[in-house]
Amino acid sequence: MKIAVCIKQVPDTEAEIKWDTPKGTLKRDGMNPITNPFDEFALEEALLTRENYDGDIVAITMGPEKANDVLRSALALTVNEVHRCTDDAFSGSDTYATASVLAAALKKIGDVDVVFCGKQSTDGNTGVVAAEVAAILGWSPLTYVSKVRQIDAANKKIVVERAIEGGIEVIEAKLPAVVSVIKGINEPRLPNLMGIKKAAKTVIPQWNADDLGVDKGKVGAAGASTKVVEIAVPPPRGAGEILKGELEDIANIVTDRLIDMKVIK
Amino acid sequence: MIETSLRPIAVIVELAILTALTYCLFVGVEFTLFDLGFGKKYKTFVTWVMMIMGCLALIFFLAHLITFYPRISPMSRF
Amino acid sequence: MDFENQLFWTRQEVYIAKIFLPIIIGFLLLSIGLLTAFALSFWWRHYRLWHLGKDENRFDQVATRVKTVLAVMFAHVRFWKELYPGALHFLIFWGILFIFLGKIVRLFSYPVGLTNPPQNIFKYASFISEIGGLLAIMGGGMAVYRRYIIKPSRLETKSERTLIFVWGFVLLMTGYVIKGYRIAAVGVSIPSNWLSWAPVSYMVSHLILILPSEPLNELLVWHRALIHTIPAFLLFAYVFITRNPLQHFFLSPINVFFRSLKLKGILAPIPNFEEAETFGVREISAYTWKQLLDLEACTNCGRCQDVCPAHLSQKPLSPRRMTQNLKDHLRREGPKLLSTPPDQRQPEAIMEKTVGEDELWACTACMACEEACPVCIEQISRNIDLRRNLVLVETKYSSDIRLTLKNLEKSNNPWGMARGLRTDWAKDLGVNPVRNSTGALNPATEQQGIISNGVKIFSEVTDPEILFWVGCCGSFDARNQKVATSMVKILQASGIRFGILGNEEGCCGDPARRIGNEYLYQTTAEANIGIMKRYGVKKILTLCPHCFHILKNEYPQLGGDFQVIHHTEFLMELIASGRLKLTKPINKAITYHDSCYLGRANQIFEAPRKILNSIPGLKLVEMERHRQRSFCCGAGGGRMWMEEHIGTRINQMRTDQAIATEAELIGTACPYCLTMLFDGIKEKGKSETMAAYDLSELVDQSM
Repeated sequence: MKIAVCIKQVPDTEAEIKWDTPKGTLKRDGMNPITNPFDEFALEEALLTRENYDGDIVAITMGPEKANDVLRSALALTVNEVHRCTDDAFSGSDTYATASVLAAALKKIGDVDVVFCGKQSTDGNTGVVAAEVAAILGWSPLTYVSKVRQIDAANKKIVVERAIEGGIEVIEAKLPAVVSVIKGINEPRLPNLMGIKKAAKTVIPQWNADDLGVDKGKVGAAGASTKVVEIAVPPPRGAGEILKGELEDIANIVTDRLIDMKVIK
Repeated sequence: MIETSLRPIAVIVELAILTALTYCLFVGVEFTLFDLGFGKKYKTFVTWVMMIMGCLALIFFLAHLITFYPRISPMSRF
Repeated sequence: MDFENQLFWTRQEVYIAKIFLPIIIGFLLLSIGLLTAFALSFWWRHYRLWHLGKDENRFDQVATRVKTVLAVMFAHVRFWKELYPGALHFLIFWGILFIFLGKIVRLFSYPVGLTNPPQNIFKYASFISEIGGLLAIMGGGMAVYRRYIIKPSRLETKSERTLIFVWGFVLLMTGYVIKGYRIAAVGVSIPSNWLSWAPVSYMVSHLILILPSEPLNELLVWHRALIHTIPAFLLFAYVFITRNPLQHFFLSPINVFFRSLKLKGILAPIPNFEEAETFGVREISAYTWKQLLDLEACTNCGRCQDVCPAHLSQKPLSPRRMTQNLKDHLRREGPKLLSTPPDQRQPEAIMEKTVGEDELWACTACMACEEACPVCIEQISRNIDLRRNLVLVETKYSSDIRLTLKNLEKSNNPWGMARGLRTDWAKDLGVNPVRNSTGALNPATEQQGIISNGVKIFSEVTDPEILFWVGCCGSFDARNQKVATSMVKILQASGIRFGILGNEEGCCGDPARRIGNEYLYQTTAEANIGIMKRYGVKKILTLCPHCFHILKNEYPQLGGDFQVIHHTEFLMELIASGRLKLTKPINKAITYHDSCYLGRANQIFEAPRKILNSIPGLKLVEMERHRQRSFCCGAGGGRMWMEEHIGTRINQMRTDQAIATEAELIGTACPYCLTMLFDGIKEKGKSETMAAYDLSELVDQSM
C-alpha cells in the first residue's frame, strides 16, 4: 500500500503573535516554526496504517527551505520517503493554488492509495485544502475523520467514521481517498534520538513547478483566486456590567437596555 | 570449688554449641546448594533431608561425647 | 620465657605430634590451598560480572582513595551519623580484626614451637584475640537485639543472616572453649597469670570437664580444636562460594576505593554521543563496571531508604530496593550474558520487570541516599541512565514530561512561554516603561537593549562585572520574579555593574538533563555557552542552585568554563565586605531550608546562615533535618514539572517539618524550594502565620 501524508510548517501560535497589518499576514520571523499539530495526527495515522497493512509512507510539504524541518521530523518517525515542493512561483498561494501543487505532487508520486492530512492548519485555519486536493484529483474526499475502520487496498475500499454534529457518520468510499483527520484520532508518537540523528543527515529532495508540471500562472500570488482584503485585531472586549438588586428591578433594567440597543421593540 | 555446681551448665552449653554447629553446617550446605543453582522447587525436600541428617549427626556426636565422658561427677583434675 | 608457659605452648604436641602431625600439616596446607582456590574463584566470578559493564576510569588520585578507605574501614567515619548502628558495627569490626590478628600470630606458634621456645608475642596475641572476641560478642549482641527485637523498618532479615549470626557465635564460643580446655587440662597445675593474658578462657576453664589421663586430654584438645577449625574453614568457604551478607568484607572497601571523587550530583555525559547507536541504559551490561560493582557492594542496610523523600512519602521508590533488585537482575542475567558470544546476546530489559516506571520517575535526584550510604554507592547517575534510555530511545514518558520537553524545545523554558516574554519581569524596574499601552515593545528600548532603567542587556553594559543569570523561574514565575527584583535592587544598591542575557537566555538545561533528555540538554547548553562566549562573559551570578550547579559543574563538560557564584555566596561577600549594610530589623523566628543542589551537591551551608545572622532581629531555628541531612522539597529531578499522584505530597512533608520548629518564616535560596514551600504553607492553611521568603528578599527588606 502506498500512503501519503501532507504536512505543513506553521508558526507556533501558542507563542506571541505579531501581525503585519498592512500586508494582511503574520510576521513570521520572530516566531518558532512547528509542524501543524493536526498534521501530526495525520502522520501518526499513516504510521498506524503502515503497521496494520504494510506499505510505504511518503510525506510531502509545500514551503520554503525552513519547511525541511517538518520533513525531517517525519523522517525521524521512520517515513520512507519525503519531498518538498518549492518554487518562487508558489509564494503567496491561496488554498486552491496550494491544493493544485499538492495534487500534482501526489500524481507524480503515483499509485497512492490513501492521503492523510490534518483537518486544518493553525495559521490559516481555512480547513479546505484536503477537500480541494480530492476534488482536483477526483479522489474520495473524507473530511473530519475520527477513526479509520478499515482499508482494503486490493478491493480499493475504505471505511471511516466522521465526526459530525450530534453523532458519527460511517462512510464506505472508493480508494484512492484523501482523509483529513481531527484532533484526538490517535496519540502521536515521539521520535527517538537515533531517528532524529539519522534524519538530520538526510538530504531532502525538492520538486519545483517544472518537476511537478504545474502552470506557474495558476499558482502563487499571481494565480490566487482569493485575496486577503484586511486584517484587523478585534477591539478588546469591554468589561461587562453586573446588575445587583431585586429580580424585578433587574428585569426592568435589562428590558430597557435591550430596547435602547434596538434589539427588541 | 564452684565447678561442681556449674558442671551441668557446662554440659548443656557444650550440647548447645554442638547443636548450633550442626545447624550451621547443614543449613549452610542447604543454602550453598540452592545458591549454586539447585532447583528451588526442591526446597522442602532438601530441608527435610538436611534436618534428618542433622539430627543423625547430632546423635552421633552425643554418643561420641558420652563415650568420652563416662561420668559427670566431680573428679580430680590430674 | 618462663618454663611454665613454654610447657603450656609445647605440651599439647607431646603425644599427638609423633602420630598425627603429618596429617595436621597436610590438613593445614590443604585448607590454605582450598581457601585460596575459593577466594580466587570468588574474585574471578565477580570480576567477570563487573566487566560486563562499560569502561570507566576510577584509578586516579590513588592516595586520596586509599585515605578514604582507611578512614571508612578503621574509623568508620561514614557510620557515626547514627550512634547505635555505628557503635555496634565498630565493635564487631574491631573485634573480628583483633581475633584475626591474634589467630594469625597463634598459627605461627605451631611451627615455631617445634623448633624454638615461643616468644612473649604469643601472650599478647592471645590477649588481643580474647578481647576481640569480647568486642565481637558485645557488638553481635547489640546487632541481634536491634535486628530481631527492635526490628527497625529498614532492615530486611533473611534466614541466611540468622545463619551467619549463629555460625559466628558458635565459632567464638568454641574458640574460648579450646583455650579453656587446655588451661583446665594442662595449665592450672602451672601457676601463671592467666587473667592477664587469657581472661575469658580462664573463666571458661572452670566449667570444663577433663579426663584422667594425659593422652586422652590431649586428644580432647585436638577434638575441640577440630570443632573450632572445621566450622571456621567451612564458614570461609561459605562466604566465598555463596551470595551472603559477609561478602561485604571485600566488596565494600573496594567500592569505597573506587568512589566518585567529584561533587555529588554531577552527571556524566553520554560517551561518544555522535556515533552512539543507543543511549542510556536498557539492559544491565550498558552500565559501567563501577555501577555494577555498586550493586554488589550494597549491604542491604537501608540507610538510603530511611532518608529518601520519595520513600518516606509512600512512592514506590526505595533506593535500597532498587539496588537490590538490580543486583538480583545482574546475578541472574550476568552469567547468561557471559556464556553467550556478544553478537548473540539477547539481554533482558531492566525497565518493567526489575524497575517500575513510577519507581524510576519518583526520584527527585536529591542525593540524600548517596549522602547516607556508608559504602559510597552512586544511585543518582544510575537512575538518570535508565531515564535516558526511556526518553531518548523508547520515548516512553508521561504526558506532563512530554509537554515540558516540548516547551523546552520550542520556547527554551519549561513553561512554554514565548521567548519575548522572558524580560517582562524587569520592565517595571525603572522609570521608562518598556511596553506601551497596546502591549508592544517601546521601539527605543527594544533597539538599545534596555529593559528598564535598572536592568540592561549584558552587551549594552560598559565594563560589566557580572552576568546576572536570572533563570526560567526568576523570569517567568510570578512568585520568583519578586526574588529577581529583590536581587536587582541589591545589585543596584551595591553599585555592581551587571547585565542580563535578556531574551537570548535559554533554560540552563537542568530539567531536560534530569528528565533524561541528554540531547536537548546538550543543544540548549551549547547554545548558551556560545552566546555567553560571544559576549565575553566571565563571571555569572545565579539565583537558582540548579542553574548554579549545572553552569558551574556540568557546563565544563561541553567547553563552558565560567566562574559561577550563587546568590547566597554573593550576598555573603557583599555583606562581609561592608558594601551592603543591613539596618532594618526583621524581628521574627526563621528556619532555613537547605536546598539539595546548594547544600549536598555543592557543600554551601554556611553562606546562607551567615546572611541570616547578619540580618538584625532574625532568630535562626534549625529543622531536625538540616545541612547534609536536609529533606528535599520535592521539585528536583525534573519533578517540578510532573504531577504528584501517589502518596503524601513531599512539599507538605517538608512544610510540616518547618511548622514543627514554630518559626514564622522559612528562608530558602532556591526558586523551586520557594515555590514548593510557599504552596506547602498554603496547602497546610498556615498562610496567616507563616511565610516563605528567598534570602535575597529578606536582605532587600533589611537594606
